[in-house]
Amino acid sequence: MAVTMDPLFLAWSYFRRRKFQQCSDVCSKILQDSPYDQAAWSLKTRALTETVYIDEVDVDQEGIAEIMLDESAIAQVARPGTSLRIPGTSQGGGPSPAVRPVTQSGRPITGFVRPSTQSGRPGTMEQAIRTPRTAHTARPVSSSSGRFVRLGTASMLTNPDGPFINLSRLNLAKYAQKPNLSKTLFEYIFHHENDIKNVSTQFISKTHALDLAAMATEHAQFKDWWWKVQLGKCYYRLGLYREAEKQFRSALNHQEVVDTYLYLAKVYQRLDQPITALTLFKQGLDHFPGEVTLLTGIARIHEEMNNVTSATEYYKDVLKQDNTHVEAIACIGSNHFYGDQPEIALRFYRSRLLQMGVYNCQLYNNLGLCCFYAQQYDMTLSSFERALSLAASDEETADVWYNLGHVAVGIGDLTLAYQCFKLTLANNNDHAEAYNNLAVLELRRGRIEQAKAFLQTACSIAPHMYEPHFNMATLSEKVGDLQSSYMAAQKSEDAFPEHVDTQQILKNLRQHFAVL
Amino acid sequence: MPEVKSSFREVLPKQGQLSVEDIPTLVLCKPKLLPLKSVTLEKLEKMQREAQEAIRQQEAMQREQQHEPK
Amino acid sequence: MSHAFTVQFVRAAMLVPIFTLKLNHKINPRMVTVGKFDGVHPCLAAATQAGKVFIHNPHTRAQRQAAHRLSQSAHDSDISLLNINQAVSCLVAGSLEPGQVGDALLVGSQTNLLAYDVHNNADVFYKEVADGANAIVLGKLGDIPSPLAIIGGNCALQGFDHEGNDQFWTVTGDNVRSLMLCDFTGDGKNELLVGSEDFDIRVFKEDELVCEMAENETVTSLCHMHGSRFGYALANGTVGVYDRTARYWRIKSKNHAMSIHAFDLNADGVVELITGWSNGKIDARSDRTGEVIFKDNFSSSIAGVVEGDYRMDGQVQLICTSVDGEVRGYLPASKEMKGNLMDTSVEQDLIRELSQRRQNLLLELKTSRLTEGDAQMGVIPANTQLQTALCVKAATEAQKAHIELNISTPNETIIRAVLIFAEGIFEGESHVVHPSVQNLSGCVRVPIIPPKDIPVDLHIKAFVGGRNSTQFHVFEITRQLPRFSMYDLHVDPAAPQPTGIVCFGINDRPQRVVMWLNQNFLLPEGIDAPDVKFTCLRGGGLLSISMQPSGEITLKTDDIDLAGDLIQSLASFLAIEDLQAEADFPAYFEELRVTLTEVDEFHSVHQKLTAAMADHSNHIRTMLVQAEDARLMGDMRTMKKRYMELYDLNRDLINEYKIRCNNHNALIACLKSVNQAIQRAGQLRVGKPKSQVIAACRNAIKNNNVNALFKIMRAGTASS
Repeated sequence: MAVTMDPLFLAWSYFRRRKFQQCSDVCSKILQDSPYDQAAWSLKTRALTETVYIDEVDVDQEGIAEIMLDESAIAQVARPGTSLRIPGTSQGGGPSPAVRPVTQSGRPITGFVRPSTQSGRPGTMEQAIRTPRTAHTARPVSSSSGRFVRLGTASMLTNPDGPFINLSRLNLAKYAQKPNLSKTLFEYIFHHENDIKNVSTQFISKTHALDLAAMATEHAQFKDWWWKVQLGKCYYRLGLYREAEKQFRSALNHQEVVDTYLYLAKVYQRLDQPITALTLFKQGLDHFPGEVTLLTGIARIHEEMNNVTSATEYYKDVLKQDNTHVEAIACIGSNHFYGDQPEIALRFYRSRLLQMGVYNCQLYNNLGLCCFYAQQYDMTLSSFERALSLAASDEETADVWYNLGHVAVGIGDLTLAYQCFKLTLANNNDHAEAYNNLAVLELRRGRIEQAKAFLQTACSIAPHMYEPHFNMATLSEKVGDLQSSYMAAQKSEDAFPEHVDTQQILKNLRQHFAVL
Repeated sequence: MPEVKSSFREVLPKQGQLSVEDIPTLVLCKPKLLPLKSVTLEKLEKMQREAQEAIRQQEAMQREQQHEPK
Repeated sequence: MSHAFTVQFVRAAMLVPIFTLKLNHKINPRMVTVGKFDGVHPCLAAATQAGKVFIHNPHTRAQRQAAHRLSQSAHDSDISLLNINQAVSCLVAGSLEPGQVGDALLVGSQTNLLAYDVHNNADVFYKEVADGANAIVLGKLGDIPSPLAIIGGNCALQGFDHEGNDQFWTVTGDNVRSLMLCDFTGDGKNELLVGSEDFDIRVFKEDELVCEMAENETVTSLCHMHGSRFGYALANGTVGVYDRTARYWRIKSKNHAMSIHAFDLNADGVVELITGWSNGKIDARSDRTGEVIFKDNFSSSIAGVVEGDYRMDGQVQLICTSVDGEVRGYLPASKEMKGNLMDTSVEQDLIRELSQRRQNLLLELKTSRLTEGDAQMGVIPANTQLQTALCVKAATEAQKAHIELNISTPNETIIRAVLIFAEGIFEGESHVVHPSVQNLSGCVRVPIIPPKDIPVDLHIKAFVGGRNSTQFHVFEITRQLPRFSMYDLHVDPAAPQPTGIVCFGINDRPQRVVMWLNQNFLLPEGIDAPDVKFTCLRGGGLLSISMQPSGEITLKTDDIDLAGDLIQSLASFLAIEDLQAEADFPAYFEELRVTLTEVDEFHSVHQKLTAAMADHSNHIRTMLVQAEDARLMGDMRTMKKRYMELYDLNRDLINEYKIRCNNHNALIACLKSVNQAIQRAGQLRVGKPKSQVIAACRNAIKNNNVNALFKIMRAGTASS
């Protein structure tokens, strides 16, 4: 005799075990028999939401539209050191671009990447659109379309027969009155916002979320901090940052919650007021001393403003509180590596991350590099082999081969280096660094035309890097093509104004032209 | 020789020409540490990949269904 | 109170500016300030077009790195712009937090107040202000320990400290246009002076009204000079100086005074009143006499007059700005010039006085020579007196209700012409009656219709003489029009009883109330007992006042403003400091209830519209990027399609914006009525009960508790 579990209990058990699809199926069956079962409806909604749940605090993707056409920041050109948009010269004490690779914006690459502001403001819309549209560096058109690409299709798939909840037919006012249902419904609408592949109905669902939140807040007589935070999140998505700020501050007045501080700090970052965000974090730390997320927030802001020393200090504080914080370890590690201390970087990457069970391509690649530069040659190649086997995409494979090329250069095996760089290109046709380094190798072999071709490709793919431009300038000068040399040198100066050798070339060229 | 000699006296010319030759060498791009990804980012990418996979499968199935009635 | 206009002397010295700048930005009038944002260097900040504020910093040019290889003009690089994204309505810079190094910049708009730390690019606070911010002033008020940013909006005043807490709020009679802080009462603490659109200058000791001065046009600017002396400007081109409640002098011009400031330009130790006019003139007037000491000309209207050590050489310059972006700085006159100036002004005074006397004597000589031979002297009997009488005249078919001023001579002399000068009654402040030769008589009747219930002095000059005289004697007489003149004792018994009623108790004898009635109403025979009924000549309603032997007074009227005026007048007459009252105005309260529901509706519509517009504009941005993308790829067809969609979207957005504007204006009008209602409820009480009522009403509205609001307005307290 089979003893069957109560279906609702079974569904709940699936939910606790994070088997959301089964949970949702069981609930659908219950709802078929009794369509007004609030418990089943609520559970199914939550299961569907969990499948697409992303922690909003981390998501902060700015699309091209937001960056180019946004005037929420008060100061159009703030004093350097008070804005996230102007990287500020290496006042933070970090290594120059001569030592540490930079991204498109002119900021050094970080040790850790989040789905957040990729940093950097392209000067014109044309520049913003033209940047190579590879999966890693592409910027979505706008934040909502970016989200849509990632989530929209996913949510549609949760119900191939059509949406579970038909937003246009919902009587939101009725749901707003029922606190046990309204919160569940809100989360569903908020996370499933791109329910239908239709832009105009995207708009409906956004305002639905806002309406529901507004009605529920009123119903709670403006005393429920949770609804205020949700209202703030809705406003944030719509781009109404000042309204979002008001809601978050109001929520903080009722109840001090760490998440609210984090959301509010996001608002200030969008308003390009890093110092206000820092002050806010410090206030949060008064209430929640040692809170890791707040310390991480402070460290991230310092990093975005290029204050590498302050960022490292705060990441160290984070590690004091939470020894396993991957982001902190990775950032400190990469700072040490580029600060010419590969042994210490190795300690961070190996003793901490590897022992924590982090097991991916990036870590092994970094381990390989650190081992090599720390002169632990036994580990180097095996780490790189592991990295290659773990690579999840062609771009990652390419990067590993690129670093192997550097190892080859280091041991003096230029043929191996050449092959590695070629393999890099085979995996990623747009790898500007590989083109540049191949050009250097070609020049050593005396193949000037080939070197020039590689350099030109590198220049066009990555105009923000100074190396290809500088190399082009040097090469052209040697060959006698002074005009191209001068133009290339100027581009190199744009990318890296403090580069002494570029200044030297420019000085020589100017003397030449003056004589003419 | 195992004698203990007085230490070497270095000779540092205070005058005279010191020439510096600056051969412009080409510059290599630096080795790239790959940034680690956050949990959120990984989850997002995973979801995106699965969704694209599923859509591809669905489209393939639909195409088969269209071909069948022939 | 002198009502003579001083003659403007043309012989003023021309000012020579010590520096001139031409900025490439327009400057909004009355939105100019100087602040030391980094704590050291004074910078000019001003509101300009498109909801932006610019800050001009000529000091750190050398320190700034060449960000771009292209060379910019020096002025361009000195200016940094701030996006406010709303129309700026007021602007001031100053120290909000004691101990903070740099000044904060405070920018007010119709919906928000932003306090911004320019040096650190960080908000100090950003607050929503429902009543708008038309004027702003920064400083300490009364006993409140921290400095406040005080804004005046639609019938309300609000003060914020550096954390954004509103430490101060009260209502005032009408929209605020200008604010000023000074120690008016001499008690060592600042009072707040408020210039409003209802022509009054009010003085507040924190939220308690100390006194009011009535002017005759909107008070657009106020500026502190020294001690309790301050300058003021009206919307009709009048500029003058008050010392406490007494007006020293004023001048009137056909141009508007855009900005006034106090500065000692001739280095004599006393500040002059500097006025910037709408025709580009700047003049500096002596605070004693109003005589122009310096002047200069700009090519466009003046925007603002401020002061600061702009050249960082230890001397403070007077800085004048015009709306086209021209900036000039003036230094106070050097010591040598100072001596000369004073001499010339004394000489000029003397010359003027002597020539005036010469004029008068010549005239007398001429007339006496003329009249020697002529028998038609304007001889009049020795005991001729000018008599005046005031009486109330109800409306007839021929004429509206008015007060009749009857000017007459008791004997056979006639009145050739009458000049009446009074503020606020006649257009142009004066009225002349000169009957034609056939209609000359010994009696002239002038209808007077005072627009508001305030006491008015009528200065009457009458030309009296014989019937055929060509010269007349001028009689001058001043008659005061009682405050509540437009109320007629004749009551129509069939008229409906008023539903509004106010009750309060006093500790004085009925005789005193009778005295007050006799003084403030036009009662031809006087009355004995404090029990009267009137017909309001303006509105037609009834007013009834009665007093019990116990000291309880009952006022019955439908006009809540009238009730407030009566109570305030009686309280000041009887020198009552605190007075509580109970009131009920059913018709008015019903209107208010409707207004409050409208406010809620407008608010929710506003929220929906805002969200819709935000989403819409996100959509437009996306579309724009896609269009650019198509263009860069050379896909012209898609590009055209996108741009056409953009055009439609843009049009939709503009329509949404218009709807939102209308909604917003309607909301503002409602909020103003609500503030006025609070003001009226306050007027029914005096002293502490008044402040308590206002504060309690505001709390009720903040908590959205409509029933509590009405209870407070009726009973005067919130306790149930």
